[in-house]
Amino acid sequence: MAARGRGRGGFRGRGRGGVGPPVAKDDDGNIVSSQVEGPPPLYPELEKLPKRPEISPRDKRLLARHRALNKFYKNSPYFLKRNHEQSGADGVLEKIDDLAGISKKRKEEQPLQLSDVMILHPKYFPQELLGKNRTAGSSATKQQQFWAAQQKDKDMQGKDLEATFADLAKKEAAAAKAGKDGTGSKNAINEDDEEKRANAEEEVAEEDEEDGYGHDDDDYLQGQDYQDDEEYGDEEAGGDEAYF
Amino acid sequence: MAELVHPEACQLATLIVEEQLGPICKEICALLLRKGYQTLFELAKTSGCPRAELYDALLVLTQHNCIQPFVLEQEEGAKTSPQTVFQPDLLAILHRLRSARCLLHIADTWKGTNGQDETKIAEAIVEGLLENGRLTSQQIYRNVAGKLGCAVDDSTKATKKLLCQLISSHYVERAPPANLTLPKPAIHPDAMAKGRGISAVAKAQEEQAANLRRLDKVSYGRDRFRIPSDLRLDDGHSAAESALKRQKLSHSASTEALDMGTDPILWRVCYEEFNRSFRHAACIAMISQARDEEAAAIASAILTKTRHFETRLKEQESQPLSAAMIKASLEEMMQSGEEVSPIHDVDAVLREIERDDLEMMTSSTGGPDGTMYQVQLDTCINLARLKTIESIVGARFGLLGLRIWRALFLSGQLEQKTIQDMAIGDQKDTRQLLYGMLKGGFMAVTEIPKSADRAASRTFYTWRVRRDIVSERIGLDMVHSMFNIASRLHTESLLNLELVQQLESGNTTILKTHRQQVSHLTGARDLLESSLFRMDELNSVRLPYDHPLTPETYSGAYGNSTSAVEIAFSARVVEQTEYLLAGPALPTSPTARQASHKRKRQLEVGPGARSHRLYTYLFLETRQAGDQMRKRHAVNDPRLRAARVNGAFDLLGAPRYNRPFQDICLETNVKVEVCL
Repeated sequence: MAARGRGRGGFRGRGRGGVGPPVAKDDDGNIVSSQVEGPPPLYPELEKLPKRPEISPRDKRLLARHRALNKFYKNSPYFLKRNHEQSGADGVLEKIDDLAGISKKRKEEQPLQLSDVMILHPKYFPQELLGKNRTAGSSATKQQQFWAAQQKDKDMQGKDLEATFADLAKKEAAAAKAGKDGTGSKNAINEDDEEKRANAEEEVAEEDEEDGYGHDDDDYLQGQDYQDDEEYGDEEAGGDEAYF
Repeated sequence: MAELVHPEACQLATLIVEEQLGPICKEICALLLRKGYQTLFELAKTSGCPRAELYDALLVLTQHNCIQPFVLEQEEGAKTSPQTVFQPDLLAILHRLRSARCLLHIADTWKGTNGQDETKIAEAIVEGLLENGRLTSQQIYRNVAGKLGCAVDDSTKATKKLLCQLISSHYVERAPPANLTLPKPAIHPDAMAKGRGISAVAKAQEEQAANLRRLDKVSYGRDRFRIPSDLRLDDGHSAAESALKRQKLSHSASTEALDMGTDPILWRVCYEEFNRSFRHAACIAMISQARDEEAAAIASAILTKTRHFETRLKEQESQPLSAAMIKASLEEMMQSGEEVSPIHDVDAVLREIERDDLEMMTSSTGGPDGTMYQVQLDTCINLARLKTIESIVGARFGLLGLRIWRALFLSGQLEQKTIQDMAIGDQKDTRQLLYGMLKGGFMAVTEIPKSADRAASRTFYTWRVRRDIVSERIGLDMVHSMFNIASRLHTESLLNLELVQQLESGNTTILKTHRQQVSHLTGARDLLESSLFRMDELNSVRLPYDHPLTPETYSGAYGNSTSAVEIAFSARVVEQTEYLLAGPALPTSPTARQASHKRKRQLEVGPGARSHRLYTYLFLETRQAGDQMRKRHAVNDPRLRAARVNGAFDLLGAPRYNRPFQDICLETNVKVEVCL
């Protein structure tokens, strides 16, 4: 009983203080800031990193074969996706075509079924899996297309990414030169907008090293400085009334 | 092996399946690996997938040899039809990581008569089988024609010839049928009732069922590499010869019926042969490092010549060859264009081999052809594993740690003070390293109390290195590392999913803003994937995967918790234990080995839960080897609490007493063979 009373008294006494939320303190009595900015990193930085391994020519040959195999698996009928994943962009287009009544073209490009490429025989697969609908027969043309398609995939493997990037960079430089020569008469923008754009370009150019975002001839940021509310405050156009 | 049923191995397998066969197959595979074999009804209930998706996933997984359908054994007179179960094949799924290495092996080492063309066709055949899992011969011809970009009729003859050669070399095998009976898991002998009313009838039934199981396996084992008649006959021989062949073949009516029947024959890649080639390559690399290139050339000559005589994956030694045959084999290899360093004086190299201390290659005199030479495959592989373990110990614990480990490995059992003196370290560092290595699983410690109360001040603590336990632990860590690498690769791909999809579709017109990101991503992927291949190569030396369906490895121990590989490996562990304890060189001739089996030996027990299973296997192995041990003592705990209480079992040497412990124990059913 006394303990209960003491407990209550203690509680009442404490309640007057107005301390606020509990604060974490370390051993020395200093307050530890407990602001957690997001979840802990999945792969935190390592202090002692091992030596970076070199990729030998043998590794490159292994990687080429491994990637060719993986690519085949992903594009083959063996790679089973869920029904809702299979639609995606193609599914939307299909639905639009169906509604519009244009359905013939899409049906020809239906993907290969398992029964087209596998020999579904009761000796190797249990009968209960095969059921009634799956027959061993399949169209010879589809099979031929499947086997013939092996050759095409081989052509894509030889490309070196670095060389491709170098080619693209050359093409872009050539396009930039052609663009600069011909764009003097095209721009009919106000001086205000030009200044704003110049400022924006400078800002982007300063951040270029960090973000890697494009500059003048990148049309990604063309409309960035377009002011939709130019006429705001202009008495002819309606003053400063809110317009939607 | 214990780590192959480790959770990380199962998770690595599911990652592989998800990357290659999609999310539905991944879910079904994960469910089967977690639960073991399941019937279709159980799968439909627990997976929650729609029926059509489940059936498709099971078909695809069977096609790619990730799961195998079996039939459950039924009692005689059962009215219901036999149930089909699906069993996951963890080893086969982990094998898929080695597909690229298998293709590279064919590309580098397959030497046909026509040179490069035949190598290309052989690689195309193996690639087609790896891509599609199982194919008929007709599908193989069409696949190869598609890959080479020529008409089917033009390439069929060459493809057929190379397919026969690949089957003869055991690189390609027949796929097993779906009606094999499920192998029974091994039952510990202690769990079986001894002489309590088992009638002769029940025993006869059990034997009959075992025989039936073996019959399926034996018939599949016999047909596994048999080339069917339609592939064999069409190889350009004259009509008379082919008629003679047909006559000979028609004598074996059952095989003809199989070939000429309507059942198609599906072919698949046989990983066992590739693993054997990798094992040989590892032995030859070890010999070239330890000795020189010339000895390695001789070893490769011996192994090439005697390959066909190897019946199991894990042969201890090759067949012996005489000096003349070695020279002939070397010449054959040079003519076929293999990369062999020329040897000026074969005899001088052979004389040096006779004096080899490491005994990687041994010689035996007294044969009809003079001195015979053979490669000790086991010794080479064990040396390679030892080197791997030492390099890991050196990297993790530094030079002093490596010295300590080596001192203990060579000396057996030592106290801390002795170790400190041998390894030339101070007390604090030595103690820290010893306990660090104990925590990492590289060491074992045994307590030898002087008094019954086991007070620390009156107890000796001795340290020892158990190579089998260390080997097992490192295998576990390697599989864990491989899972971590694969998981990181998966995460990186998910974080940059759009870029990855764009790269894989071949569209390399990437915006300038993304190019740095793409370069970073491709560099990271290259590093992670090549690291994964290197880890797999390292792990394959430590433990080559075994084919679970070969009759020789099928010893009735195939099941959910144990595997034939563990049983096969345990035979080597027994030898190694003897080697560590006894000290002298491992007996090499079969007669000496039999003598050592009959000799009473002591198995020492280390700490850890894994030692329970390991020693169960050791016991099974020694039982199967037909050891005649006079007395068997059952102890309740590998830490030998019974010994401490009764003071009757000495951990160091022979036991002081010969009294049976059966009245005390049997909590864990572990039996330890005791030296008397």
